[in-house]
Amino acid sequence: MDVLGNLLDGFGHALSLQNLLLAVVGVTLGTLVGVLPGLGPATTIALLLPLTFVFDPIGAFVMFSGIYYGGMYGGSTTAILLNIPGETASIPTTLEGYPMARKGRAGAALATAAIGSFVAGTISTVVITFLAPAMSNIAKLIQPAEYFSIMVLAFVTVTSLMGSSIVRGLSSLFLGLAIGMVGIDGMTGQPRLAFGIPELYDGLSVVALAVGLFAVAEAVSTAAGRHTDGPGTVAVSGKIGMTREDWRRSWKPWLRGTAFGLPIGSLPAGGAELPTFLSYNVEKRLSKHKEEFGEGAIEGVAGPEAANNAAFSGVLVPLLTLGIPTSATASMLLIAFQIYNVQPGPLLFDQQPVLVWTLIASLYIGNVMLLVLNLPLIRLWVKLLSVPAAVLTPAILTFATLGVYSISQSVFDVFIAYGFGLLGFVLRRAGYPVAPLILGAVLGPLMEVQFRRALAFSEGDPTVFLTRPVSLVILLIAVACLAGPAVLRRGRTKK
Amino acid sequence: MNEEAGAPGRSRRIVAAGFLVAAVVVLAQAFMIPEGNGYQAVGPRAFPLLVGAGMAAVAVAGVVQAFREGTAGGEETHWPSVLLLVGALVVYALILTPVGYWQATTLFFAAVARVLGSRRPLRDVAVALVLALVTYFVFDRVLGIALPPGLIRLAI
Repeated sequence: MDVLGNLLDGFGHALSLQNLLLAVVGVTLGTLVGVLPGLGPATTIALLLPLTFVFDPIGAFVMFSGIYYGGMYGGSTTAILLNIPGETASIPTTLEGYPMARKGRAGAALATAAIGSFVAGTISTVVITFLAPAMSNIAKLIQPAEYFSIMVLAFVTVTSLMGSSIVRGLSSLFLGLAIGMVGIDGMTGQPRLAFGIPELYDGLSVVALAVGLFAVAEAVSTAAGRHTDGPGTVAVSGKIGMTREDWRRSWKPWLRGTAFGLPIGSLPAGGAELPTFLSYNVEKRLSKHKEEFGEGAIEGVAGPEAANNAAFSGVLVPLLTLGIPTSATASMLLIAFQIYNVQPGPLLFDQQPVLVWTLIASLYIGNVMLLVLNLPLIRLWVKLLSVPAAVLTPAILTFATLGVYSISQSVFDVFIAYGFGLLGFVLRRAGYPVAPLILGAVLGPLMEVQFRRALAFSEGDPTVFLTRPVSLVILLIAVACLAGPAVLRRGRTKK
Repeated sequence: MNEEAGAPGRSRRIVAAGFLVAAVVVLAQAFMIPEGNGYQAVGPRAFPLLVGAGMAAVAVAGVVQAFREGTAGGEETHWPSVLLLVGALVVYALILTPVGYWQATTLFFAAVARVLGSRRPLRDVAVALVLALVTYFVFDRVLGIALPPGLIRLAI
């Protein structure tokens, strides 16, 4: 099989001593940062991104996949022990994980999360190993008009799934699209939205944008809420591990969670929120221990954690084959690709086979490493939860500044990051989600390229998006996703 | 959903109005972009106009929504801390190059710890100095990413 040969090749590259070390460092750093309260996987990646620049692309991506898995696992640890979800997809974990921890069952909750993530991650990686190349062949057939419509669909689904208000989500998204246009237009050399400032002609640094919106905003929020007491950290008592009963109750939710997360995540409209909430509700319905739900039912941790991890692997399919990120974390990955001048999309598997297959191979390695490193080290990570905010916050800001500065050696970019940090803080206070903003800024320029190509083919006729049947169907689905929740909500309130 | 419960009404109104202002700016800027030279079916202006229009539409909806909701609830913001933090950030960015990376970082770290309520300045300075020196050496000397050396050059 061609795929297996390529994969073995990838393992050949990933298993060099240097790359194995980078994977260990990545997983360790990813967990270290991800376990800090309030820092979700996207923030973790934003903070650690600059570290990867010094390595060759392959080494960097090996380290990166370690950071990716480590950050995710760190996030579930804070969800279980602190009741702080690092991102929306971790909310179901807090519902059952935190009560479990308070009952002295933190060890079992952490173990089912880790092993479930490992199971889901491994199954998903095997599937995407075969699915991604096949998808990439289909993706090559997609014409610009359809490409544009798929991006519209991705935007709409991601926005309507995040946060409580579609209007606020769309506001963030459009602001992101506008930010993405700042700078010189690549096709004509025309400066746009640059306000005559030469530093803006190259566009706004997406790294500064991401670091600001995630890391700096988090620090400002901490400062703003300093009068409130932090949540109680639950000590991990007893051993980390699961009883026979825990295993019996966990394995089916793991597999069901994977079955939700992987297909939904793999769609260019997916994301990780929907499958984790779906998995939680299904486990609640199927469980023989319904009375335990809300009080710490292990199924409610096992299922969503597996779904989360599977969806995160699945998200790589649209990212690698279409160049479309469907979550904040995936946008960070796209930014990393762009820094190395690699454009994910239908041609990625042909143009960068070594890079892609090494990346996929290192996903397998990262997964194993996470399990091997984290179960024994969990007590060490938990100690990090007791670092006081007065030390943690300046440390986050220091690393955020260092990251932005070390990429461009530019104080201007540092100010951009701080500015977006304040913006992110204000938006969050007002209940606006920031993930659509990042998505818009990263994906906007690619969307415009497809938009202009489609119109060039149609000789300027804007109805091309509606007259091509496939494009029309995709756009109609997008409209349904946009209007659907509002209609459903209205129906519900009438009752 | 549940986050609606503590929805900060007043700040939401201000932000919604801010989005409307931003939409007007984007639209005004988009109209000022010259529409290419005729060789292309679509020039650099079409997409900004589309985005500007969309932005304006959702911004209007956002303002309407924000004013329909009450102003009740909302998290309290400790503004003195936020302003001091912003001040510290601005100073940090400004002194980074002239004063030097590890020197500026030490000052900044200790200052922010203080702003956030730490009453152990000695510990903060010690942590700050160690962190600043370690990152300086790792980035500048090991990874080869040049950071501003500043006034006091290190012998090593």
